[in-house]
Amino acid sequence: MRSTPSRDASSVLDLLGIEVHVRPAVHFRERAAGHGVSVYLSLYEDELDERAEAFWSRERQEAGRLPWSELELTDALLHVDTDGTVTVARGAACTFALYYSVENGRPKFSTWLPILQGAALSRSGLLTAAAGACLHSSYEVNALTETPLAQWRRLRRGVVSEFNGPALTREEYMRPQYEIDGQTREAVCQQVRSAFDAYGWSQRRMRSSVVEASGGFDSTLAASIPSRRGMRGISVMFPYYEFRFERAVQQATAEYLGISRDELDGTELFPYSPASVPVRFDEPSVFVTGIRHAEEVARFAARCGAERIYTGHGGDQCFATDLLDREPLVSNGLESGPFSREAWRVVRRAMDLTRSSDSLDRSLGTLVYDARPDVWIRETFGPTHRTPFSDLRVFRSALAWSLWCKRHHVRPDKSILAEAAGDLLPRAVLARKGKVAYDGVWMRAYHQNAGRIAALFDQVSGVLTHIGVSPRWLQQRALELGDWRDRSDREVLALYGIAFWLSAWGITRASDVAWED
Amino acid sequence: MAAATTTSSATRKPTDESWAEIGASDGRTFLYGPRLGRLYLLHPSQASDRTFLSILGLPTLSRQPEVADPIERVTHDRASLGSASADRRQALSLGLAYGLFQLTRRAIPFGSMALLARAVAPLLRGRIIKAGATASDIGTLVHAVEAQARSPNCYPRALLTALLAVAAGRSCTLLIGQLAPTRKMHAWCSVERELPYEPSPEHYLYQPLWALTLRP
Repeated sequence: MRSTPSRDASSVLDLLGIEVHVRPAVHFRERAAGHGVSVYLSLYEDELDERAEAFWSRERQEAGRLPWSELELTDALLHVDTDGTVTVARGAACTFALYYSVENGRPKFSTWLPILQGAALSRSGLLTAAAGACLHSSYEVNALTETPLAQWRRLRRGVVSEFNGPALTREEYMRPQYEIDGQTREAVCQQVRSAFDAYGWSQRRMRSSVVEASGGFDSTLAASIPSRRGMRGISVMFPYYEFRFERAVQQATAEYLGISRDELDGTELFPYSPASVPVRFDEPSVFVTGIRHAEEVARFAARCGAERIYTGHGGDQCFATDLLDREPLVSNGLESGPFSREAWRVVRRAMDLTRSSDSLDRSLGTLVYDARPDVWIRETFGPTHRTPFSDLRVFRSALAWSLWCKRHHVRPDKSILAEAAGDLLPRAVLARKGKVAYDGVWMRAYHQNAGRIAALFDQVSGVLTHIGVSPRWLQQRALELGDWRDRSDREVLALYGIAFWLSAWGITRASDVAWED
Repeated sequence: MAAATTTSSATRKPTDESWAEIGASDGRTFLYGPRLGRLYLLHPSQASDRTFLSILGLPTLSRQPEVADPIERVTHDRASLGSASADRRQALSLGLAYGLFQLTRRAIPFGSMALLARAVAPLLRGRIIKAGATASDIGTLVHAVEAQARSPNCYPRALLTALLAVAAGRSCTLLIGQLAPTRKMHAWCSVERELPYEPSPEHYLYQPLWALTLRP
């Protein structure tokens, strides 16, 4: 197993008097130029030098103007100017959080939140997280910047934020530039292919890796890097009717890639199954419902000595979605049932702000890749997650595909991937029936874990009541879901994220911490 | 595994029905009752009660350990057909039938509507569809009708497919399946082991609970 960095050993950078706390999972390069100091941050240590250099060489070409639209979606850049202005750009699919707080009249930045270090909690910050979890699934809430800590805010993804003194004075979305040469399908196809070739080249230093091979286009392309030495496949298998074709496709894919393939029993990795190691995220997230799955894949990768876990996350969002449209979000939002009147007001405001947010513009890339587990996986097990679909070039080629489809009045689909990279995909993948719906797995998960879910709500009932949420309502709903009753699970899902977070940090009574609102 | 379609003795009958149950892993059983067109979650004692099953429209003689999905190929999907269209007369008549299937879904059970469709299908032969039309011809027509429909879905699509298949003189099998253990249901129609049109193929996710074969 590789060394697993702990956030307790984070670095503190001083950029012309501006403090930046960087957790060890996040790697950085500093650069001083005539007009100030910059630091480029990325989770991918092996790619960091090339990425930072590409950004800065573009800056040189543009006579010192910071080329924000060239920032890789998963990375961040912080620049402190000699005049004291601080500019921070967080990529649209940034794999780590970036927070700020104001101390002594200056902003202070951190890649982690100082929870249980004396900072007061925010009721509205927690409720906002629930609203976001409901609408966004497990994506980090980008429309709102509140965090569970009252004095700390999160910087938005896909945005350049500018501070003058202590004040955040400007926020502007970074729009990735894209074009279609000659406006033909062949041109788009070439653009897609060259983006995947560039991705493959960027992975040339990997000596040992694991691919989470589902047998679909996306994970197969993620694994289709020129050097697959030391690569192993891992698949999760369920013994249910709807999954009956999956094993054969996955086996054929592994054979085509020339890698071994192991299987995990999906019935032991159901949503809501507990992890066997402590899970402390900075903010509540519904991602914790899938933590057991993430843990077992990461544990397998660590056992293999893998530096990287390849996945196809983001493939649907890039190539089978109209990126020129707005994200519709879920149609069935939260019910007011479990909330007090005051809490419901906060939740409703958060949902309204989310629905009207500019960040739902898909072309910004903020809903391409959900990076919630990446830092946890790196810090707990060692490997880093990697998908091609959060690469700027791949995303730009996907935008070009959406534009081509719009002009030709057709829905985007993955036919362009088959056309551009068909030689990288086995016939079994090209002929696969389609994605398997996980609805049945979720129902079974509620049946298996309803008692556990209810017990967790009970464990933190004092805090839930304090923030205006009824634990009894949630317990009742969890038990109904476990009894196959046809009920919405939105509230249980969203507030499970909150309850899990409270329990993980040991906050089981409202009096355990200070509150600011 | 029981075939959902024909046996040599059954081929002489105009229709042939089969049904199966799906276990819910807590000892209970999911069943589709064609009499009212509903999904039931039953305790084992209820699921083995002949009288009760008969009330639901499930004769014990048609019970099978499993109903197999006969589909071997989806002839057309949305991507393969693009913006193909039917002629005006066809589109109007079939659009009306599609709308009727949709409109009556709460009032007339699926099985009854299928039998009704079988009864009127010969009237369409040669007018709306030619005798001997292929699954591809049927799929193209269904796609053209759905392109004009306000809220296309599997229920009228399956019935319209069956109507056209019988009108073309072909046998077909209507199936109702469940994405167990959710309440999500799906209807589709197999025309000689082909599914003429499904915009985004998904029938393979649904485990068949009930099948009705119609012969011209």
